[in-house]
Amino acid sequence: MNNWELLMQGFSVAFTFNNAMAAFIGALLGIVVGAMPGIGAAAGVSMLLPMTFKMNPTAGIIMLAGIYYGNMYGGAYSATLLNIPGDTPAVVTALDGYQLTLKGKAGKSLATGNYASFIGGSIGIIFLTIFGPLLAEIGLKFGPAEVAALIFLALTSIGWLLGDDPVKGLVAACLGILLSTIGIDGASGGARYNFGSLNLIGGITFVPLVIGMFGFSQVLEMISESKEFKVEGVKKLSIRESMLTWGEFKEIFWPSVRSGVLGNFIGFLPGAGATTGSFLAYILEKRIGKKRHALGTGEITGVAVSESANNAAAVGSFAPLLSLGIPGSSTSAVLLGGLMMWGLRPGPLLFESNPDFVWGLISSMYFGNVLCLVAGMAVLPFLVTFLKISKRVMVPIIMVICLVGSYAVGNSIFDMGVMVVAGVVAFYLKKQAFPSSPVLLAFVLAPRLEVSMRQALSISQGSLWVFFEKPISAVILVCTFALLLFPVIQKLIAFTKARKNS
Amino acid sequence: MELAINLIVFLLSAYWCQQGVMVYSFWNKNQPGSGFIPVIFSAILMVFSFFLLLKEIRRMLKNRSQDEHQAAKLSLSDLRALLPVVYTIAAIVLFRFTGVVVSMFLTAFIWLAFISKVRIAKSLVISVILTLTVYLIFVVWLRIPFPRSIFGL
Repeated sequence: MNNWELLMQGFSVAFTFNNAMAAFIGALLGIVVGAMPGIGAAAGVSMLLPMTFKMNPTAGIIMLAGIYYGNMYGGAYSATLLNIPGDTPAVVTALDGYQLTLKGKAGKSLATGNYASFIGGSIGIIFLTIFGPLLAEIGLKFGPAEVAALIFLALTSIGWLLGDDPVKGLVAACLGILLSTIGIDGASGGARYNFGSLNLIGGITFVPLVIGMFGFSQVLEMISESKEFKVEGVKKLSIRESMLTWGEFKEIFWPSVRSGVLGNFIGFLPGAGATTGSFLAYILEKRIGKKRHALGTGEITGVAVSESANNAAAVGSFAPLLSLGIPGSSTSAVLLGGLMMWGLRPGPLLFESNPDFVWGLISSMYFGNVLCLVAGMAVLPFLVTFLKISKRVMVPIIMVICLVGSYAVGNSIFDMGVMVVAGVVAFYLKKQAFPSSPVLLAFVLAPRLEVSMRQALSISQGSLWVFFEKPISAVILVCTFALLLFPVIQKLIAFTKARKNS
Repeated sequence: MELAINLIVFLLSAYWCQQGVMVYSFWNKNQPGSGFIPVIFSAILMVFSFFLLLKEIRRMLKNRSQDEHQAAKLSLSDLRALLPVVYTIAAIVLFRFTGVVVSMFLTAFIWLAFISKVRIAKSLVISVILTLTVYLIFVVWLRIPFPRSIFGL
């Protein structure tokens, strides 16, 4: 069967009552959670993950995917109205979105965000339909050496190496790897680093860890910042006044398409994610856009490029996740954890062994994207009231969800403790500018890295040459080392320039 | 704080490395052993955390007076963040003995009414709705076997 037929078959799966409801609830929850200032997609997906345990895997992942891309829509709302991004990818949206609010054009900014998110999301889904299976076919050619090299590339990826302090990103990734070594060693079957505790023999449970790192740490952050959020300058929004004119739509259309393609490409890269996508799209628009000089002063194009890119990247990150089993962002790492919990193994074989699941998910995205656009426009009149919900009320609600969710996975009080410890550690690490996404990505990827590396070395009788004698792994490793050296070279150039100037 | 974090990470990685070499074996009969990955990445972590440790010590020596002033400011927000931690631990203990319904209701209500200082009636309504939602989703729908109180809830 070709992609088109498989997609049509996927629609028949996606449009069953359960799956369609899952997409609808997911999209709606995603928008709501995304609009909550500072919560973010990873926290939203991880806190709601336990709710999907009893669903069948297809409905469960459709709902979680809905939360993810719904979140990208919602992230723009608090960025525009409060100047506080709902999630990091919406940071760029706030640059122009909030300026538009101050000019009294909040409705236009929000509607632009919705349209651009729809355009970006659609581009992402079409590309995923075309390139997902192709990527899986390439993935089928991968042996243990190639898989190990690819995971190594994902672990040292640009998302955090381009951050403020690449060393901290690497420290966080190494911490995630060490955490993943706790428990049974997949190759020998013996227990490691369990400190004599029976609870740790099976390793650290993924869901409590992730709920703690992204959900509970958020509670601590909210408490430590005493400032309340305030919607200023907007009293009421109406759908009619927010609708774009034909001229405004034409103005944002091509920049949105351009950013959608770029964002989608970034999303395809393992470890990069939506934040990098929206930043790069904004930089591109600043270089080549018609209104490049006005960006940052309250231009709808600025909102459009950021929103289109982050939605396209969010959908794009599903391609390496489903085809290669490599998550493109921390949220897709949570989704990977969810998939593994249901006994599915994302990777090249998933397209062959579970076509109903994969194509059902992809098809549901077409439907979910339309739902998000409709729901996104429909919630506009209620947004101002909704964003007035105080942090003082949100804190105990998140706390209760974190507690119940972390218990629900393994019916264990110990897991609740893991959640609390993970939250405290993530909070203090974040305060010192250690990113938490690499910890999670490394925790999820490390077991596969270990198995592949050890398999490759066993086959080669311990020779490291095995990673370089095959062209695919050699190229990936060269790229990895280039990425690792890039920040060092960048600093050296800056240092030499500064020295010359002085 | 950063100094403490780097020191803890350094010591932790040293422990991981030592255990990997001495207990779990790094290399065995031309094949990597159980300690192979832990040793490699803990060694990398040791190097990086040591680098960050030195960097932080140098920075501290440079800005000594400024740091003292900031330390007083920081400790307040750090302590404030510990409040939900202690509260959550108490909630877990309560959960163990009184079951999900009572404990989650009290967790939400006490926080809302006495810490967030939300009006009692509003706190009550929010806590009841939240507990009911948790009960319906996790107990009725997902059938999670939560601990139960003497009332059977």
